[in-house]
Amino acid sequence: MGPMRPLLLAAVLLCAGLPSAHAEADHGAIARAALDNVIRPGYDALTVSTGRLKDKAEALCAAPSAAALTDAKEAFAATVESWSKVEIFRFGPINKEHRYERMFYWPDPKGIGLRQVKAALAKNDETVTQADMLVGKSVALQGLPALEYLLYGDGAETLARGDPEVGFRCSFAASVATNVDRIARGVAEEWRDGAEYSKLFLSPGPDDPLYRAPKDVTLELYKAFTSGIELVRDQKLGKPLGTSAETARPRLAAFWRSGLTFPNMVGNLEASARSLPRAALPASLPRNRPASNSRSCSTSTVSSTCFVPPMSRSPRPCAIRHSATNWKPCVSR
Amino acid sequence: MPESLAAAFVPECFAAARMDDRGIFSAAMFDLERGDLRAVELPARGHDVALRPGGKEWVAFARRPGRFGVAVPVGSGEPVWFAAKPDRHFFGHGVFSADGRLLYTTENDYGRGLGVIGVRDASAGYRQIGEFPGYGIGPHDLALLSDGRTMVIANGGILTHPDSAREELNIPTMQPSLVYVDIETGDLLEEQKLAADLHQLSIRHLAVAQNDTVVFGCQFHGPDGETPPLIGFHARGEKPVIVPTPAATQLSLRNYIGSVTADAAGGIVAASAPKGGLVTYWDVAARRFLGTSELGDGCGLAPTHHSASFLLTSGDGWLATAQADGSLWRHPSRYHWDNHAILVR
Repeated sequence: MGPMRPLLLAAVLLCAGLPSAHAEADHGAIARAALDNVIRPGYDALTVSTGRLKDKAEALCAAPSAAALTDAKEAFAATVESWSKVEIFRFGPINKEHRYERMFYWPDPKGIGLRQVKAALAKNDETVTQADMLVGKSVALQGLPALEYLLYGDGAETLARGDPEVGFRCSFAASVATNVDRIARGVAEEWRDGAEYSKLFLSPGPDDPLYRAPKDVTLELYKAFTSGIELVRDQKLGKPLGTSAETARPRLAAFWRSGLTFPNMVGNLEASARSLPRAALPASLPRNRPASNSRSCSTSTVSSTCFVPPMSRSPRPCAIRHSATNWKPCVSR
Repeated sequence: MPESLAAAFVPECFAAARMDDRGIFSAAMFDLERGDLRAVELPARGHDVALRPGGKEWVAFARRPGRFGVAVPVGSGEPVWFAAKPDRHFFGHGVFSADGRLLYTTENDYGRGLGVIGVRDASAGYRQIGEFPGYGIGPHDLALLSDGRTMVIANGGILTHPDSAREELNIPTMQPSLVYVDIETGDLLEEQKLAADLHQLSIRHLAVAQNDTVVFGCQFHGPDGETPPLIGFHARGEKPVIVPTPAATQLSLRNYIGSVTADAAGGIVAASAPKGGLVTYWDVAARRFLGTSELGDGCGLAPTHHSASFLLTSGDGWLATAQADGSLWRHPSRYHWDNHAILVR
């Protein structure tokens, strides 16, 4: 189990405070809406961005110039923006063949990826300049953080010049761009209508590997919803900010080199907000709910309409919350 | 039908510690068809579970630096609670003697900064009857070899003190080890330390696989930027062999193996990397990497009744059965599962 996640009050209310909590939602419609309105458009948009990124990186290498470097950076920014809107979905084809980490090896608090990128640059490791060989190398060399360093990090300005020694860095960048594009296309393709993941997502059956019932898909989307918010709060804001100016570590922020830290977070939150159709969310959360209502979430009620998304990693001990509100434990004794 | 054959047709029953969304900790026996068969609320976070030979009882341990243990009958009897001595705490793992009479637990004698193995009489309410040295600092996982007399202990090498929370006090000088101890005498039979340049590879978890091959999983505490191999194999009298994963996988382990378990036949071992959302599979005889399954925060591992098949549990709430070829079947649950799981029957 990772970091403990004591629940947030609102999370419980989401479960127990609704009079209609046990009315079965239309799970099939929720899955269909998420796929049609968010997931597929999200990955399709990503492929548009990565395709352009690949083209611009190749153009930069073919004819280096300040304008070509600017174009490549703009294409990178657009790719990050597209990625941000699917980054919270850690399920489906992105969760295969290490695609997620190959695309976005992050967080990397110890800068392991950066070291590897610098090492590849220092020794002109030709294998990283060919996308076919790059896929077998460390995930940290393959994705957006590596490309960000190549385009924005120390020495990136040389990409605008036609010096022969710059060729390696540019070829490396183009190979990463190609790799990123292939990953995005692979994922988009595997979410198409009729493809295996789409079938598993839209019409799960009891013997299926990923979801055994439609409500499992709703659960997955709820997890994406809450974990997307947690990701921004804990990892993207909390870690760089620390607890004070002294403990702040601004370089832990995602995409700080390219100045895309905030667009990235905005994209994550937009995707979280859209991951569940409005109908699947409670219209409002009641306040000061009587403790007795929590009984509606007993161990016998294992349904996705009555699960409690883990929304908080508050350091406050749960026991204190627990006694302060007289919540009854769900666990049978 | 013989019991061993019949078992293949019965859904496996597992046990593990976990937390619900309200922050309530528990340990439970469950199967994937019916869910909980028996759950016991815990006063704090649990860690591993040990099965008493005979299969009538399982014991859940507090996560370090906790002090409680609870033995839970598979049937309807009352759980039996026990505690570490006042100057000891548990590391979260334990193993029974082959006859089920004694329970051995890894414990911290933090006054002296040494690991010890506590010995309790399971037939007398888990009263502590003694202890012997763990021959290292920070003993964590442990197991018995097939002779029922030789214990293998993973000494993580990291000095901790309950007053300093989970702070690690000796990283620059840490010296993890794999030790073999005669449980009849408490004597040290063999000690294996890793090469000097790997002294910051904390050996935490292990499994005894076929031919008493010990497969161990490490957590790296060394310099930033290094990503050493984390899975090792050891047979008595030989040197430990650490085997790397392919380059594309290595970084995704995020320098942290959380759990190691052998399959039903002992020929394949699973080692989880929860921080990377991966479970790796290994061929024990060939000492070879086989592949991975991907499961976010997937850490707990237990064998099933079938070869090359495992239960995977996740802090993100999923339970899954997985094969060493990477195929995975997921089941949703309401719990954040802790790092370990066992097969009860």
